[in-house]
Amino acid sequence: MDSKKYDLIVVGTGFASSFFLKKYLEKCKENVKVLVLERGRLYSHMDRLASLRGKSPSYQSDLESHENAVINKNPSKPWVFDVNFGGSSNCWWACTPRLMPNDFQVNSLYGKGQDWPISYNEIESYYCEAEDIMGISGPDVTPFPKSKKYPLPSHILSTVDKKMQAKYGQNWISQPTGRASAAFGKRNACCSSYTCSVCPVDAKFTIENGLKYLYEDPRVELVYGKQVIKLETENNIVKAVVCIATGTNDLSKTQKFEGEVVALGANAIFNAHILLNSGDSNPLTGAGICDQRGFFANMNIDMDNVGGSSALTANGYMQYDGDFRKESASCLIENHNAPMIRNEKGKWRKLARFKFVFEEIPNNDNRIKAGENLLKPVIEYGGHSSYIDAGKKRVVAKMNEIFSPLPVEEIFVDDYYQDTEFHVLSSVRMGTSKENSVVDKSMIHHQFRNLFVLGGSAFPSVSASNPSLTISALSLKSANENF
Amino acid sequence: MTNRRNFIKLSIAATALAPVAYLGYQAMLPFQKTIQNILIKDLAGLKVKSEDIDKFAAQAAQENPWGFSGSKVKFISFYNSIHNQWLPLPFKYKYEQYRADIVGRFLLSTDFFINKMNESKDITYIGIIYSPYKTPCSNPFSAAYYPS
Repeated sequence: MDSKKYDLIVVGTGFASSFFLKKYLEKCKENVKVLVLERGRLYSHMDRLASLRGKSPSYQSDLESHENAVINKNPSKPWVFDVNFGGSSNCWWACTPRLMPNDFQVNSLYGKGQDWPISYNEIESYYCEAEDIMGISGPDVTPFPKSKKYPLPSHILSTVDKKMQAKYGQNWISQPTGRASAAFGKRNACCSSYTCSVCPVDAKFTIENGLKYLYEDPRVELVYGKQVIKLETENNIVKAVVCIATGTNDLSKTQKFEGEVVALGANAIFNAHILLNSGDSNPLTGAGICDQRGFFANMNIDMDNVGGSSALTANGYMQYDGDFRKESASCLIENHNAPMIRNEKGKWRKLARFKFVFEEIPNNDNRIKAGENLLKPVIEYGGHSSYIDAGKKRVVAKMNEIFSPLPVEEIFVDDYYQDTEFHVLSSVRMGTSKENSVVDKSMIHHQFRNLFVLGGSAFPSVSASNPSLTISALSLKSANENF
Repeated sequence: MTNRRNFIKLSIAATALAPVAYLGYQAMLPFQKTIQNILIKDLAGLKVKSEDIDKFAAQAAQENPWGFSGSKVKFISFYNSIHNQWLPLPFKYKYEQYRADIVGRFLLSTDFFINKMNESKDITYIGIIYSPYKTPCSNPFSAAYYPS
């Protein structure tokens, strides 16, 4: 086995790791040694674009798929992620609403789920910082309090949004987004392609176009193709990180790297799995894995739906917060500006498409487990909660009322949920003690005090808002408070 | 007499099976033909050149810009053969969505939306099937085309 020692070892290069690393490098000394272990490789934006244009890079067939990385006991529920440099920033749609203040107190206010050990006010300045780093486009007026303007102007509302906003005001806003409304850094302005998983014009924030320079810092050593298996611990201190070359199965060929401090920034499946492989005996480790759920509704309307300047033009908060959350899930509405048509002469663009995304309460029966194969986590997921179904029922019943500002002719509500919202969350939750959580409010493991467990795995409850901005803000906060 | 009975039985069987055979034939049509049939019918009121429809259908059947699976292609072709306005068939809305996807992709690949949906103007296929990866920033409903 190789043996090296670092001041900090970071696992992963996605949002959680990169924002943590950014703050750490700002605050630490010039002579620190940082090791970053990345499971995948640099699958660049240029190569992704080329692949979509029919010219795949030579290494395409070697890329690891998310399906093969896990043992999913419930294939009807896919868990989607990108294992390469930059993680899910490669495939996200760059929707960056903040959580609302009440999302941090769902148990105190509504008797559901678990409160966060931090308040909205404690994370607010880090939201601002993350938004500045990502170059978020957003409006001046939002339903959540903000102490600073967004760095880029908001995207232009569509004709449909303008009617909705006229009635709902700050509860119908131009979506805050990492899809730039104007050229920003290396990024171009978004032009509503509606293929954001790989943006044709590189308009959305990614780790590659926004924070790749961190990994070129002389203090940082980035190693690709290393799957972290477990941590070696001694007297409740993490001593080393054990990994293997990605794609190999020979466990006699592991590598070990020693570190003073370790930060796990993998997703909620692998953070939990690494801890379980390391002997973490907290019964909550791995428990609660979940995702939001969402469904679409299409509408025929007696007006042309045009003029929006981004892929998702707006967020609606009319069904987001209220006493109804004691019984049914909160819902965030998205206006999807897809270039789709209504197939009727003279009415080609007289339609609208909305998505309704629901919060979830983590259920401890849905779990990540360590199986016989040390390299593949087992995912046991029985399904989403009835709280979500109650939320859908509430929203569907109010559909005509919600969209009363529009000249609606007919509404077609999907009778099914989308398979995934692509948000893997809540398997290593944060809280006030090891009895109710695995990590503390600084994202430090309750038992292993030199171990940070970053990312969406720490979410104690799952709001209807997209999580990546909050993941990034939490990492900034954690590094700022501890270094 | 026996021959006559057999003839009648065969005739009845043939009559009963004819629609089934027809539907089977329709479902087995090349997807290109299904695309052509849909576009000809749904764009009847627009000034579209038949050769443009033929060219698009040939290209689209090969490139499959919708990413339709094989079973979805068969479903669309079969449904197209039995579909009509007043028959309450299952999956009708799903089929109509796919159908709108086909018509929409064709119109997005023409100058129709660039001309602000002017139905009195001739419509020309631009020769490239609409894709943001081939022609970025060409969403014709966006702010770039409808500045406020």
